[in-house]
Amino acid sequence: MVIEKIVGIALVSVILSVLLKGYNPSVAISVSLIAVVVMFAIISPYLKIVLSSFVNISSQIGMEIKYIVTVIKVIGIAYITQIGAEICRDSGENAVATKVEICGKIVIMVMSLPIVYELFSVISDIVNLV
Amino acid sequence: MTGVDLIFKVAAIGILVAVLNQLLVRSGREDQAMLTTLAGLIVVLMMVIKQISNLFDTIKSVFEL
Repeated sequence: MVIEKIVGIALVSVILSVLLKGYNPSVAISVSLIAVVVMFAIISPYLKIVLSSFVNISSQIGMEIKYIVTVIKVIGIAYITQIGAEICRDSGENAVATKVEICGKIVIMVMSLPIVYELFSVISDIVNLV
Repeated sequence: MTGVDLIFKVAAIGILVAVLNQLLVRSGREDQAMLTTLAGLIVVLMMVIKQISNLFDTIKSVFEL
């Protein structure tokens, strides 16, 4: 089972990280970082299945594929941003974590701008129709 | 399970470096203790960087970024 594996890795890495925090804080952070990598590597095939089924469903109900692709990209950026920000926050650097989050929000905004443009063009079409 | 091995490897390096650090400090070689800590940190960082780039590649392929 996958979930037992994930929880086991999390518990082992947390114990090792807490053990190391007193002697060697930077290595303790590295341990938790590698735990993140390992857990994501285990769970990524499942995530792939979920995302491809999202794409399949949206194409079946006749939705345009580029919207759902944009949503998936935004989720990916949010995931990367969260990993970075949480690692910074765990090491006690709240300021850097907040900056990482702000940068992630800006990148997400840039990625979703084409859709916003499209929304506004649809609205202006409707207004011109009336 | 190469991943869990990696966690154990990093933790072992950390414990080893901490013990060596204490040993060298006790025997009055503070500068060598500092260098040992630095060397351990660099070794761990090299491993972590490789794994981080692995993680970002995986995320890129999953989310099609």
